[in-house]
Amino acid sequence: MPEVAIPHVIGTLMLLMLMSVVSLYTIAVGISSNLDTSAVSLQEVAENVASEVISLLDLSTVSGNASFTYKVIDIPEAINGQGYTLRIQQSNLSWAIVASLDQYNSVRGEAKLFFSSFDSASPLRCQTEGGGADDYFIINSGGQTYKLWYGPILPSGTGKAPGSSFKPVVWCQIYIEDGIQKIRVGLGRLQVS
Amino acid sequence: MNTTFEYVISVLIIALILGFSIISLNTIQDTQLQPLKEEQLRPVAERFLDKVLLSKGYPYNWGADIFVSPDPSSDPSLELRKLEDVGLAANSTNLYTIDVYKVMRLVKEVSAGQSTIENPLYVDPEYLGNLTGLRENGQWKYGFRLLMKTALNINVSATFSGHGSQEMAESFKVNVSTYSGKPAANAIVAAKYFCFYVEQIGTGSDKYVWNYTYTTFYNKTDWKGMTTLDFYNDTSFWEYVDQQKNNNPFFFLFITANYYGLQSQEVWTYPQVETISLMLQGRYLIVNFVPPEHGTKLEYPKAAHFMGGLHLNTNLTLVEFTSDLNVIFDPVINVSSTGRAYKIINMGGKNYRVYELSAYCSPDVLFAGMVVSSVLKSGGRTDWFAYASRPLVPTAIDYRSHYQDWKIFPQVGIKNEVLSRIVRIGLNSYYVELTLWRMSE
Repeated sequence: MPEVAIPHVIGTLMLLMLMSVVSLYTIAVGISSNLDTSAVSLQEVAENVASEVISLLDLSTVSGNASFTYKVIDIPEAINGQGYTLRIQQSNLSWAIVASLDQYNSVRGEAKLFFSSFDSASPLRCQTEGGGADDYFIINSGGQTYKLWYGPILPSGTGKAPGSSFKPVVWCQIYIEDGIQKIRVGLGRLQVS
Repeated sequence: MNTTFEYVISVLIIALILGFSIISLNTIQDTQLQPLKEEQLRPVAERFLDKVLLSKGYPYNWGADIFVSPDPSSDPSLELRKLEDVGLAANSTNLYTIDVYKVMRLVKEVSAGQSTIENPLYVDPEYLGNLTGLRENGQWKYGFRLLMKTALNINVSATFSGHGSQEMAESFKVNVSTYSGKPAANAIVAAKYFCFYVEQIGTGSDKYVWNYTYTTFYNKTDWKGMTTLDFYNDTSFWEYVDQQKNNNPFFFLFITANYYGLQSQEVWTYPQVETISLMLQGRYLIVNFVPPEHGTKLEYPKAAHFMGGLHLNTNLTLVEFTSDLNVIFDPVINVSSTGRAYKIINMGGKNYRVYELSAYCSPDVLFAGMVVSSVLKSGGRTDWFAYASRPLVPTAIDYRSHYQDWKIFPQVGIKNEVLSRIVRIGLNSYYVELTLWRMSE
């Protein structure tokens, strides 16, 4: 009787082990696929936001006058159910829009803005910092006052104040400093109520 | 043991089924993601093209300002400023209006006949790649080709006939087609036909002056995009030309075609003499004269131009032809050399001669010409008309990341995006095409 049972025990254990290995591998493949899909989606979002930044920059600089322009952008709140952050940062010698998952920071999409960042004296700068309590512009439009908080965008809602409604924006500021026209572009959230 | 084998075989079968399933899933996912990744090249191309065509770059007048350089340290004796950002937009409130000086900075060299001018202000594509991020760590991440050509193709063929005592081009067949090669039916074609000549007015060192007369003609193309410009009946023009037959008259036909808002221009010259290259950069006119290789036989009067120094007899004035068919005269000023030296080209090893103009050429100026009159060793005189166009016509720019003939990019099979736009320089329209591809996929 034991002679008959032993092969069944060994076989069952092998099957269980195999199933465990396969299950783990399947989970890993699933996560990897999910992250790959997320990376493609993040790249898509980054490309669209970068296009919005370039369009806004081109339109704002046509007149050459001091101005502040912003545009509300339409981006998903989450990527595959996960929160993500949009920011402007340096990538090698140029500026780029980077979208990265909050949970897995290495999963990201990066879209070049095609203007250089290596010269600190350049009149065209990107606002990389922000998100603090005092990091906002006051905008008066149509008799109403809005606050535009500049800094990285967290579309999933992180950082939203209770009772407030925020919309993600790209913005461009043209100002004169020491007689030189300077341009600053960035991301932010518009507090609409 | 049979039971054990049964289990082993069961395990193997299950492993195979699961393995194939996973591989299939991965393949399906990759297949679905690949088109998405490829599609993402399009917004990159759109953004890059918008960046190049809609932004001004920095310094904003980097095209006309010859003291803006990609490498300011190249000449410490000059106070050069760094080119920090490249964009071709003109300083205008109109979108898709391009600065001709910036366009000319993307031209590596100008060739006419056997003479070539290398553009000293050329911006290398690698520099643009580094500025924009198309190149990273010395390697191209994306390859590109920026092609800019006239929105209309204008082909001119002359019909010669005897007029008075001379053989003259009195009638021209003009064929107009769009950038895509389709006939431009009902396009309005306007032309000014110039006759330049040099006459002797005295006996001093500057005894020669040049002069000109012109006539105009308008017509409309037929359904094939063809029309004829017939100057035969303008008898007063031909009588005047006939009076100049001993003054080496030469002819310059300046044509404008307008096809529902798209406008392009073309020139035709006679006699066709292409011995001197001109290039306009900023306020400077660069002239080059390169002798042919030893043993080359050229017919008179071309051969005469290559013998020793070339002494220019006439006043040095640039004739500028604008996109609305006007003519501007821009004298050469501030010539640093003394005496008549500034009127000598091809002197020893100094093939290049740079002249400063009294004013910047207007953005509307497409063609600029110079009447060149020289004394031959035999004591005779030869005159001709050298001209330059800016931007170059019909292809203004062929600016690309890779130039190797043997390795044309993008190679077959590499996914690429091709985008096009219509832009303006002055009143003229140009077709711009960008091809962008990833260097690795």
